[in-house]
Amino acid sequence: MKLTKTKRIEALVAGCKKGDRAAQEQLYRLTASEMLGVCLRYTPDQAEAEDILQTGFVRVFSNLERFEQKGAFHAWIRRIMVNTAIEAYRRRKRISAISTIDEQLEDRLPAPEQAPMEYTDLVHLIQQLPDGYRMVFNMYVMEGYSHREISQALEISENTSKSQLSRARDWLKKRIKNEEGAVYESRQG
Amino acid sequence: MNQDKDKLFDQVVRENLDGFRPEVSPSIWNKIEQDLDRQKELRSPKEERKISRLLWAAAAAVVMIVAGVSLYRSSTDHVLYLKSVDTPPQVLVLENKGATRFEPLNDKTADEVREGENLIEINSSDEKPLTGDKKLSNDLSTISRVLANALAKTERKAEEQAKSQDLEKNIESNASLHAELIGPPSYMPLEIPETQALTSPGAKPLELAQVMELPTQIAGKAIEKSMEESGFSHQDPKDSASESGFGVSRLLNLVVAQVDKRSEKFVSFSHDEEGSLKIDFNLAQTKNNRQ
Repeated sequence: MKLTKTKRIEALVAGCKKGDRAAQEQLYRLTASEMLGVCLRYTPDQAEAEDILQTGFVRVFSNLERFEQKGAFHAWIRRIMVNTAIEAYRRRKRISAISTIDEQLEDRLPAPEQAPMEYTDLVHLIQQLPDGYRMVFNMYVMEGYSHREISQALEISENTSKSQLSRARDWLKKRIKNEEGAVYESRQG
Repeated sequence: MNQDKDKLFDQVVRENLDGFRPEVSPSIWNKIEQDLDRQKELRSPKEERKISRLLWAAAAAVVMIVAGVSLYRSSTDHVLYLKSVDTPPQVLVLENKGATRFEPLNDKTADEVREGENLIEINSSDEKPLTGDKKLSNDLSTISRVLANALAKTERKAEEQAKSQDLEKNIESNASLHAELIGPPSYMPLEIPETQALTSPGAKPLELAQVMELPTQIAGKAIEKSMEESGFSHQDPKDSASESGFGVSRLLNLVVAQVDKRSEKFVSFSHDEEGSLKIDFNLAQTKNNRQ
């Protein structure tokens, strides 16, 4: 089944390289949902995630000639989405450069004990994190970047990356404990 | 301990999020399609610019070749040094009916002149034949001028004779009786210096004639002439007399016109009064392209 899907993607990629619009649409429909899930983790809301998805797919189709069939298309397209999200974060960061991330945390981060649980799943919790925290958490936990790579990509120091990751974890743990802590606690034993 | 807890937490989050497949709004694909179409439209002028660059490179190559050929041709002019002894001396003979003709100086003509049977015309205004003795008293400069004018009319004949006749080497004895002239080639100026055109009695024949300063041939002239003959010129025939066109610049402009279809060309060629090629660049055109 997985092999069939891989071959199908290869055929679609070949069609996309020739500029076949139907192939492009099929490839999009095959991968869009998963990529939107990636984008949602990196953005504070659905609208921005969709913007990144749109920009990311335009880049995918524009640069498909550079993609070699040797690598995994899934990983390649996901990397493009993450890079697009990082660029969007940098733009947001320049716009709101007045306040520091810590100040943003104090302003935006609701106290876990007091805030009512509005989001039903983990993605929504992650979206609630401040920009910097969310970026570091996603890049480290979900994509496997090192702190050095994160510091270069987000233009911050490694220590900042580490501290932001730690704070993001703590905040998420508390929220999960409050509302759905059973899953995490049961695994932890 | 804390690190282990963190790792476990990360793992739980990953497992929960890996299978996350949210519903995608159908409108997103439409937006992507629009973006792709817009990108395609933007890319087309880029490709056109690429093609335009290639055409410009081809045009530049043609310009270089034409310029190189022109330069080569203009640099291969030959300078001819004239040797007076290579051309036979001529004798202007007045016939009984008053007509004049030139004959190469040989034994026969020398004797004839010496005996006064035939007369040498040295003054066109004097219709009466002069005897050989009287002729000697005429001014040498007058002789030179008259002979030179007559020679200009009969130069072709003189050249043909020059090839078939032997040279007369011993002209010392005849020098006093004959107006000796060094047969000029077609491009020799009509005004011949007296001291060299005529030999005085007892003088040795000149080994070398005065080397005339010849105008160098200009390759462009030949090209221009051939192009005009082939009807290439765009000029009004009325203007052609006042403005001497330069064929190379026209040829280059034609090449540019084939490459650059715009009414306002980026490069144009012309020539100055001395025939030097001038290249004009329309920088405003490049500014427009960037915009």
